[in-house]
Amino acid sequence: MLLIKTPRDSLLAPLQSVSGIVEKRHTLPILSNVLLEKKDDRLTLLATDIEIQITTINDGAAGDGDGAITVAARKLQDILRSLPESAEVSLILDDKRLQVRAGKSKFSLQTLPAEDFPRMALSEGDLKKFTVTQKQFRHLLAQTQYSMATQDVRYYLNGLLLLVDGKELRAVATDGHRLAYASMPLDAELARQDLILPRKTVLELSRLLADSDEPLSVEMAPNQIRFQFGHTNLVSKLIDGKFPDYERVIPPSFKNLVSLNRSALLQSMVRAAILTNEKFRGVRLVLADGSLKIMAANAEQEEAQEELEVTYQGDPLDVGFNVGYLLDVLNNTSVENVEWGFNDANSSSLLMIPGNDRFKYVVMPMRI
Amino acid sequence: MRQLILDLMPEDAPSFDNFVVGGNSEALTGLAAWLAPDNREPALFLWGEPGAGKTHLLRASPGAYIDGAADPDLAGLGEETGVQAVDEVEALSESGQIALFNRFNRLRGKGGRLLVAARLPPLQLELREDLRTRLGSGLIYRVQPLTGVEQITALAAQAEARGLRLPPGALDYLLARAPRDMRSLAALLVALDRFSLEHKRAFTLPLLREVLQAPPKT
Repeated sequence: MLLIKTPRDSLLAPLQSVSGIVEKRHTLPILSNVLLEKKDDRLTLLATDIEIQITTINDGAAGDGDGAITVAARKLQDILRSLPESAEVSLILDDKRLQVRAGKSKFSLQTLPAEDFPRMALSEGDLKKFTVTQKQFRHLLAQTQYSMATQDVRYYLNGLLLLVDGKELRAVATDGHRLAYASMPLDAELARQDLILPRKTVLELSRLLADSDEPLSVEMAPNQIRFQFGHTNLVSKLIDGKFPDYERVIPPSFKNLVSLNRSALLQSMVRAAILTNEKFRGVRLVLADGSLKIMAANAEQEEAQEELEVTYQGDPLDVGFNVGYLLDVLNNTSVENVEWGFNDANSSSLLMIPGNDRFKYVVMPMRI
Repeated sequence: MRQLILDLMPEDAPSFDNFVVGGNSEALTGLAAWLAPDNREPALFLWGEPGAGKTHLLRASPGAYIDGAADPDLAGLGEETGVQAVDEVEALSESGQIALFNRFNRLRGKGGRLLVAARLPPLQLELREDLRTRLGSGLIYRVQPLTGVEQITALAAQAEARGLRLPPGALDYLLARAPRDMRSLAALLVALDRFSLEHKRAFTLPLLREVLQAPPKT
């Protein structure tokens, strides 16, 4: 039975949207598969790794009948991707196999029954809903996600705190060495609620969200979050745990404040980073009247020194940092100037955007 | 160079909720009754070996706290009328002992109360005789250290509060090699937590070994 006949891209694009979360290896073989469901002229694709579930719904699918089947996501994607862009692809259900045909190419794939495919139950109850543009949310994630921990034993650090409070949405990520905070206004007024998005969900959303003014609707439940944008629906479980109180690690004031041109600082850091120790990546910053020196040295005693002219008059400061943490924030902001506040060489410093209190980056120094 | 870490996880202030009772239910009930507002008993004395939990109980109690080892002259002893806790009275200097004795004598008039802790029972304390008998005149409870099993339970709860998942056998390993009192063990857990966060390393037995051999400076 001919399930679908469609141009390659109208199948490949939704498949690529859902298949990013499919794990290569899984104890449950069916999780390597994607669910294809055709009903009338609606084609639904669904993939899950049990923690996250992504669905795309597209109307206008042509075919002879309805049906639902699961098939290896990666193989189907590889096949579609290697077909010519203009190819007209047919998916044909043939007993327990799925045939993919295009021109003179023909593939026959193993399937597993659609009834066996696990689906996440949508949680009911107290839902907090709000709508923002895809671009806004993507920007919020971009400003913070690089500070998430990767494989920390403290599972709550391997994620991103999302917090609604009144007419504000905040995102916070930290790995214990640095912390990124960003906020944005909301149209709706919501009671305070926070949750921790798993790292994988954050990365997947960043990949899927468009840099557009199209809407993204978000539904927060106590143990689940749902995102609806374009033809895509993403449901994610949450990290169960208590995120640290980020407010207490943001320094309320500082003794020294220096204003810097972001791209000049970034370029200097990039160059100095070449000669840092591979393991620690430490750079030494020496701030004095009118000048910021950035120095690095590696295990082979090779040295780099950069100097920037700055408008600074205050106590001299000699402080070390992991250059990676500085490059992260400088690369992920797109403003002309940044402000950097210090207290002393052993306390946290705060990177800010002048005239914008919606972004804060706290970074702990390295002891030289 | 050493990466410094953000102070994400402040240590919980001692409270009755996070005190692991172990064999101390009698002392705890006695202390709670003594702390009740309508109680007329002016003094309560806790004794027990270091790390048994005396300081925890003193700090958990409402009122002022003063440590005899840190302030042997009791210079910080205020004229308060509420509960005054005095820790480690065996470390008091001569003038500190006099100050405490005078405080005792004024209790009845002012309606204040004294909560005192020491390593030994009043009978064995080497203090001025007049102070010693005052200390022994009120309620006296012994604070028992936790057993090994109770220590493991307590440490596991502290690890969980910090969001740490410990490898199986980690706590047995710690207990077999570290000082056995709860104060040292809890401090070691904090040191391990900070070490693992600083180095972004998982909590493994090799990491425990490393920290135990060279405790990191805070």
